[in-house]
Amino acid sequence: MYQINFRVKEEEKAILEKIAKIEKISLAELSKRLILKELNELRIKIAFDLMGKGKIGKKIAWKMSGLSYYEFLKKINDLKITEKVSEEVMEKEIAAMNQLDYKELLKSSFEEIDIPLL
Amino acid sequence: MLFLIDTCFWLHVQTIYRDLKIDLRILLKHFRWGYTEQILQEYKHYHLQNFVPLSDGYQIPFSNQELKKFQEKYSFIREFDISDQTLVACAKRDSAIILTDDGGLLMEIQSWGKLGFRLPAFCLWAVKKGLIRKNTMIRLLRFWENNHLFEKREIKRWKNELQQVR
Repeated sequence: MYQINFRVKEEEKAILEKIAKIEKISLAELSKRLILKELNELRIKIAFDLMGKGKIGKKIAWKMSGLSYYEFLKKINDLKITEKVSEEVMEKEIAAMNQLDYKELLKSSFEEIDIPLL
Repeated sequence: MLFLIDTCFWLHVQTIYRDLKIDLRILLKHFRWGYTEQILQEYKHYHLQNFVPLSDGYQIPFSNQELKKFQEKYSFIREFDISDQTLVACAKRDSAIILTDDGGLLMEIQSWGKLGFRLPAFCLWAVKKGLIRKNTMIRLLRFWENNHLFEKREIKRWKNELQQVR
């Protein structure tokens, strides 16, 4: 655990104390909650901004966002921002599809399978 | 040859199962697939151990010492997290194909001359080989399109590929 210290004006402290009293929590606990709430929103915003600009991939963005993967995928839909993958990468992926025979990868116990499976 | 599967890929498979009730584990269990100790830790961290059929996969030995050597030789690999670093290293060492949901990792794999697929391409590959019905793929593509999980041009490209399947 780490400690963070910061200064606030007297009137800001008074407001924080009032709210802390209403919420029945300590001033330190209230300050921590407010910072983390702000941080949670900020890290989602930064993660999606960077992913949308193609500066980071999906996994880094997901981890940066602090969301579960399910929530992250839902957020992609909400914000309509997804990962940028170049044409070249996609074409190489499609080319790989055409060169790979599934029989090379089947487990020996599944040499004969009834297809389709799904 | 085997598939090495990253955490995001499994989490996406889990999302498909949750939202569409399409269980891609049925397909995956027929193949040789594996994970490293570091990947296993990540599966556990994200509570995937009850979803991922671990007993169907192979744990690929990859020591921390090997990882350290790999990092020293290819320092840029540190851009990825530890679990993904082990995947890249294993794909290079063993003839493995990476299944990932991360475009960054896919690009890295391709730059090493190795094969990798994201979930839509993997499913499309399975359709082409007759392992998945075309109708199942249509449902999957609709899901990805409606949820904006991939760019429009990618969805369009995959649809074009699907149309060529008889």
